[in-house]
Amino acid sequence: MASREVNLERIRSAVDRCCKTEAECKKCEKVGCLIGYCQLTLDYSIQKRSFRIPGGSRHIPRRDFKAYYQSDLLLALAEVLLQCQGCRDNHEEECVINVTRSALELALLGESLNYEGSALLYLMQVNRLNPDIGKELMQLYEKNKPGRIPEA
Amino acid sequence: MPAIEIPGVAGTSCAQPPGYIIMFTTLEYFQISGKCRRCLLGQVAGIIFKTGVRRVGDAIFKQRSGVLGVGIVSKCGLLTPAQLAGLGRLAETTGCLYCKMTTRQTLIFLIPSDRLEELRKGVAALGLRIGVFGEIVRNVKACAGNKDLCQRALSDVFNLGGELQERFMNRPTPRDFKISVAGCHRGCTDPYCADYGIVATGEDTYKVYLGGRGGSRKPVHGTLIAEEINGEGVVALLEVILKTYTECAEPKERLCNTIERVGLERFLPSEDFLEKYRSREEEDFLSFVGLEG
Repeated sequence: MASREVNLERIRSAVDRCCKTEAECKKCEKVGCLIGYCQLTLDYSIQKRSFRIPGGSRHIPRRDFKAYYQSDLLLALAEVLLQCQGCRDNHEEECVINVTRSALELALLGESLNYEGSALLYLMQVNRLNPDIGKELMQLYEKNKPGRIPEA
Repeated sequence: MPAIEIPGVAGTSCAQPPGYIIMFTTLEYFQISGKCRRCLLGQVAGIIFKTGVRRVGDAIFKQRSGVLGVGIVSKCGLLTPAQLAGLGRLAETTGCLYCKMTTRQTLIFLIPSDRLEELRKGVAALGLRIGVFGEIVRNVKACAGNKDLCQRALSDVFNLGGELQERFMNRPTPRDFKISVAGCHRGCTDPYCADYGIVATGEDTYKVYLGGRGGSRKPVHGTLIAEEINGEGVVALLEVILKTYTECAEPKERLCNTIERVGLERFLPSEDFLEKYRSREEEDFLSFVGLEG
């Protein structure tokens, strides 16, 4: 569950960059596509002003096996993790941030990890599963952390 | 437990449902209360201990220091500015020593015993009421769950909490029965430790936990018995639960102990029942993303 600091528009922009567009896909599958599902979910949340997506985790299109651009997915996933409120024991599966994370994770890793309500714990999990992706994701997460002074 | 009729007392000026015995915890309270209650003392004192009579009444307690502690109940702890200011004036005019906000979201006034009637009238004039205690449904506890008070609230808990309190508070039960409503799964009002705990999961979507017990040496977590039901379903389910509890419980048996003895199955609502009150929020989402049906 999220609170006031969440910027869903930032996540939406990052997710938009993952979209392969009709130029590559020929026809947009919308809700049948992991990225399309993220976009619709975020739009629903923004429009309803609610962080909860009823049944959102259950309806993720797990049969979308398209290959996305890894660099875009990593940037989007890092943005999602930066917006995560770190609810730990109060983590909610149907939180829009979690639903988006789950869909992006599936596109990036091809499998689902158990999210424990903490971005750092998640980064460690990803690192254990795939050290290369884990390292890159951690670097992006650290680089884009609010308050960090950009390198000269 | 057999109910005992006391003609001319219960159900009249005591404002209790007919057929229930009323007993107050302290003799002092009988002495300071109205005519009806003095009458009640005279009529039933001889049989109280033989029948295991219910202990119910207003939340008015003679304290060791000699003053009266009077519990005042609002709608789930909400007070309007006018009520708050009125209570302040009332505290001064009734000689209140000080006030205490309780864990059940009531407000205790500590007043001299001869000022009770004055306080009673003042409280009623402010649209508030004197609390209740004993083997009954207690006042409803609700978190700061609405759009003004909490960033995380998924629902306006005061609507549902207020309705539950209005409808069920003071209803006789085998043992004290506590209801708690929370606006999200974080459960700031400990709904997982209430006899009937309600957790909002959407604007009009709730989970219900049954048989919890807090504030004891042996705290018990309630069990999830219904999810994805609307507020109307929460109210309807509570009616059924209270009926089953009254039928199954032994005298003075707390709900968690009844469940342990007779099994949770007796209390589980059927799918047909729940279906009538299913929230349609998921359908709304599916319709939005184009996944209807």
